[in-house]
Amino acid sequence: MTDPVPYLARGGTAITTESTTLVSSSVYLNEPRLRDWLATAFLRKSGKDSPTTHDAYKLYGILKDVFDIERIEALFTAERKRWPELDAWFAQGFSSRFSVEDLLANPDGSFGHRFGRYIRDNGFEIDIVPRFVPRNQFEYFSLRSGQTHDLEHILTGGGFDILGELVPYFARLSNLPRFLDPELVGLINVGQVLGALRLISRTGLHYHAAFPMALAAMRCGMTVGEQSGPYWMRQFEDAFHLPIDQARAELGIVGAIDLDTSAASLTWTEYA
Amino acid sequence: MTEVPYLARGWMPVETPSSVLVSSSKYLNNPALREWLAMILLRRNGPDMPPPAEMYAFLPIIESLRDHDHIEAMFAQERRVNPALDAWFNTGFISSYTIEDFAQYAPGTLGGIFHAQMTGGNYDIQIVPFAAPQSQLQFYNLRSGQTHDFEHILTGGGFNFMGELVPYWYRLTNVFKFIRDPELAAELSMLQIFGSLRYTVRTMLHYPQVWPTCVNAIQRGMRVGQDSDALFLAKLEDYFHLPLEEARAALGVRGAVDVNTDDAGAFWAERGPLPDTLQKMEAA
Repeated sequence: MTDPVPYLARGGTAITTESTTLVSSSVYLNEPRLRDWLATAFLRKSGKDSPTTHDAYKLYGILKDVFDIERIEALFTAERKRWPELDAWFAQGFSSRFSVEDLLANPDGSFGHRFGRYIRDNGFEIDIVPRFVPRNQFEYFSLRSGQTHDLEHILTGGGFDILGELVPYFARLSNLPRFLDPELVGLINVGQVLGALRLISRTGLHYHAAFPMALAAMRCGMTVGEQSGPYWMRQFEDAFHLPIDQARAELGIVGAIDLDTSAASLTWTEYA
Repeated sequence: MTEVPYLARGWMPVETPSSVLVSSSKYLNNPALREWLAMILLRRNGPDMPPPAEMYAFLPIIESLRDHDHIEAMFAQERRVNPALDAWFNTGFISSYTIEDFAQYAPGTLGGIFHAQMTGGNYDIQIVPFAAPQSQLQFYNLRSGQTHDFEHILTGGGFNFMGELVPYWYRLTNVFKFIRDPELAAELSMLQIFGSLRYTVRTMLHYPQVWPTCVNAIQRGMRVGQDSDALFLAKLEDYFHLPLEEARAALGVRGAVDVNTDDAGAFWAERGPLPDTLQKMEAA
């Protein structure tokens, strides 16, 4: 006898609950602000009224209430016992203090000089996340991730434009899992995976001509992440004086190619 | 005055006389799509809602958002400049095979592999019920449904939830390569854009142990899509009798790598234990 339920719809059996509010087995789905953020960040068009960077700011405001800090700390602590290099990185607790002037004092064409020019020419700031004193391991990891994000653009080959973001995003998403416990990777990469995939989704929905370039950027990021050492622990600031290729070699970055995503990124209305 | 944080700057809200939530995006304006997307990206897997049921819920939503007149006009225009697509429509081939028809093919052939898969599990041959196509889009979708399982085999994506990523990302790459109008290519890729997101976001959130399997499958799919001919326009039925590698060569499928993701897929779906050996994050 033919099953009357369509093939794709089979197998579902609703589970009831005593909860008076919407709940599920996912801590992420249970957060209404994250549901709302996700729908907006993945479905909306780009526009000058609401910068895409603002979405990231809002996301981290939501996630700080979702993160299981106790578990993340326990996993970081366990990883430090397993991996001396990670332990030393935390123990040293290096935090950047350089200024734009410091960057521009490096030789023309060097890693640091290029970053300095980018900051100066665009009127940007070095600290995309305000400087703070980390109170635990995850906060230190997050502080350093914020401090090195723009530098990772240069090192991994991702341009300073919206589709160029996909390169450092996917580099981290392919690199951290090579060195850290999978559960920890999942807990600390929520922002990365949501931040990255919203760009793929919105390019596919609204900026079709740029979609192949978005995929190319994704692949470039994955390639760098898979081949490079744990660059997110390295002190990039020590390589500011070096030409970019040498800086990459010094910092263990392998497989980077400089992908020009600038024209494709202009299809995103806010950057046109 | 409190300084606005760096990342929060530049927000300039636009007002509207609309009494209900609106935006400039037709996708964001659809409450059902907002709800569906948040659910499928953030939820865990569970037997109460298998992944195929998510797509069943999605199909009427995306259908309600399609501008069919515009899509048909884009197809008509594309056919004027894309002879391969025009010939494909003019031929208008539709399969009428049954599972029994595949018993004739030797093991290891494209048809034989399909037969073994279909008779070994509880699968229907048509995942979308047949209806005679009334438009170019309906023909495209019908053929996509008829060839999906063969695309799994040809692109190297196993019949499991991680293997699903390979044909998804093959299409996301290959359709954009061979359809010249990117807006039409995107319109034809809506199922893949939305469907594939589940397997990436949800993997990192809840099943990070198989994230390397996920990334590897995405890369394999993209490579096949980039390196291969327009498989989605091919009449696969003429190649059922060929051994898999010969079928791939004859159809211009290049770069396919077969990776067994059965255990990882079962773990992702919460239908199996954590695999003893996890795939490493390395070049695909």
